[in-house]
Amino acid sequence: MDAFIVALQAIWNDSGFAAFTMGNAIMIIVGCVLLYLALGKGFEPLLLSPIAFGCLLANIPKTGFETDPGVMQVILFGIHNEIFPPLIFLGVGAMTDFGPLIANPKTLLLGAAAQAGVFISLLGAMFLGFTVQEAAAIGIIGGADGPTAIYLAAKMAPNLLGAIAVAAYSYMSLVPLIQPPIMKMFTTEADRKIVMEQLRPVTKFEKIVFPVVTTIVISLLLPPVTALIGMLMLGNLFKEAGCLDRLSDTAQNALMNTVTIMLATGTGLTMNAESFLNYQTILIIFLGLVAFAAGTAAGVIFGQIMKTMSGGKINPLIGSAGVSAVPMAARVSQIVGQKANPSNFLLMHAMGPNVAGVIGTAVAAGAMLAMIGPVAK
Amino acid sequence: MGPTTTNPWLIALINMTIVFAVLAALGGIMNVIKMVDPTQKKSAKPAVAPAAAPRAAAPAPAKKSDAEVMAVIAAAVAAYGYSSSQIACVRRLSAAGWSQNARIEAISARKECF
Repeated sequence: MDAFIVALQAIWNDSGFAAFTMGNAIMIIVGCVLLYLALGKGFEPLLLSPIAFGCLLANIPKTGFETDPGVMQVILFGIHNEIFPPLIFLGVGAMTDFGPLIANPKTLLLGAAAQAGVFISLLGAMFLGFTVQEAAAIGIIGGADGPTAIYLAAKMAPNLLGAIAVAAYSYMSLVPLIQPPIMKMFTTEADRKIVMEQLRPVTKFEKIVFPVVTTIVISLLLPPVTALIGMLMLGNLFKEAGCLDRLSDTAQNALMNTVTIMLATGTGLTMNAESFLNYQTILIIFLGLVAFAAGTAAGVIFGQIMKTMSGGKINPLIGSAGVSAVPMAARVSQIVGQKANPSNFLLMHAMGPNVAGVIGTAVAAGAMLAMIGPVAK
Repeated sequence: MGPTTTNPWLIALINMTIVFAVLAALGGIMNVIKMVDPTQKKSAKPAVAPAAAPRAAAPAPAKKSDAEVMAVIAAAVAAYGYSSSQIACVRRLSAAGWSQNARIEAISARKECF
C-alpha cells in the first residue's frame, strides 16, 4: 500500500498540476480567448490560432521546452535568433506587387509619414520608464508589421517579445476597427470622394530592377536590417523574374505556411505567465494602440498635405495604408473611400503606401538598431 | 556599444528624418530606373504608330466577340432580375482596367495580414 501511495505521489509530483500556478491558469484562459477570437470571430485566424495554442503550451508546467532538446526548442531558437521573421519576409516579398509603388513613387512618403506612430509610442514608452531598447521595440508595434516587430523585439527587448508580438498581431487584426474613425476625423466627405487617376503600367524591367537596387541601397545604408530587406526583395525577385515560378510558389505557399506555423507557435510559447502577466504588458498593449492610432493619423495628415500639393489629385485616405498591415490597411482605405463614393477604387493606389510602409518599418527598425544598438544577450 | 543617445526626442527626430530620407532616395532611384528602362521606349512605340495591316484585319472577329459579350452581359443583368432594356450603355474598359481589376481581386482574396 505504501508503495502504491509513493508511486501516486511521484506521479503527482512529476505532473504539471504540482507546479501549476494561478498565473498559468490566467494565461490558459487568455489563450482560450485568443483562440475564440481567431476561430470564432475570424480575427487573423492563420496567425492568432497558433499564437493562442502556443500560449496554452507555454503555460503547462514542467514541459522542459526551454531546457530539453526537441522541436519546441528548435522553434524557440528560431524566434530568439531572428530566423523566422526574414523567412516570413521571403514569402511576403513573393506575394507583394510593388507595381503600384513603382508607378507612383511619391506614395513612398506616405509610408514614411505613417512611421510617426513608431516614434510617438517610443517617446511614450520612454516617458513611462522603459529602457531605450525596450521603447524602440515597443514603438515598432506602430509599424504594423509582425515579422519586423518580432525581429526587433528579439534583438532589443527579448523579455518583452511575447507582449510585443501579441500586441502587434492583435492590433493588425483590428485595423478595420481602429483606422476608419481616425481616417474620418482627419478628412472631409469631399476629400474621401476624390477619384485618383489610373496608375501607369509598370514594365517588367522596372519590377525586376527595383528589388535588386532597393536591396543594395538599403543594405548599404542600414546593414542591421539586410536580412529583412534582402529576403523581402529576394522573394519579390522570385515573383517578378518570370523564370523562377517554382521558387516563388514555394516561398508564397509551402515555406510561408511552414514558417508561419513556427513563428506564430513560437510567439505563443514566449507568453508564459512569469514574463507576460505584469504591469508592463498592459502598458505595451496601451502603447501599441497609441502607435497604431498615431501612425494612421500621421499618414492621413500627410495625405492631406500631398492632396494640397498635387492640386487635389491625391485622396488622403490612402495615407492610412502607410502603416503596413499588408494588405488589410489598403483594403480599409478602399472600403472607407467606397463608402463616400461607391464608384471609387482606391485599393491599388493604397497598395503603394501600404508596401512602402513595409520598407519604412524595416528602415525604422534598422535606424534604431544602428543608433541604439541591440541589448547584450 | 551602447546607445549613441538616450534623449527620446532626439532619437525620434533623427530616426524619422532617416526614414523620410531613405524612402525619398528610393523614390528618386525609381525615377532613375524608369528613365533608363530600355523596354519602356519599345513598348511606347507601337501605341503611337500601329501597323496598318493588323488593324484592318482586326474588326471582324472583334465585332463577333462584342456581340457575344453583349449577350453575356444582358443575360447576367437578366439573371439579377432586370430587363436588358434597362442597360443604358456598355463601355469596354481598357486592357489595363481588366488586369487592374484582377489584381484588386487577388489582393482582396488574401485573408492573412503580415
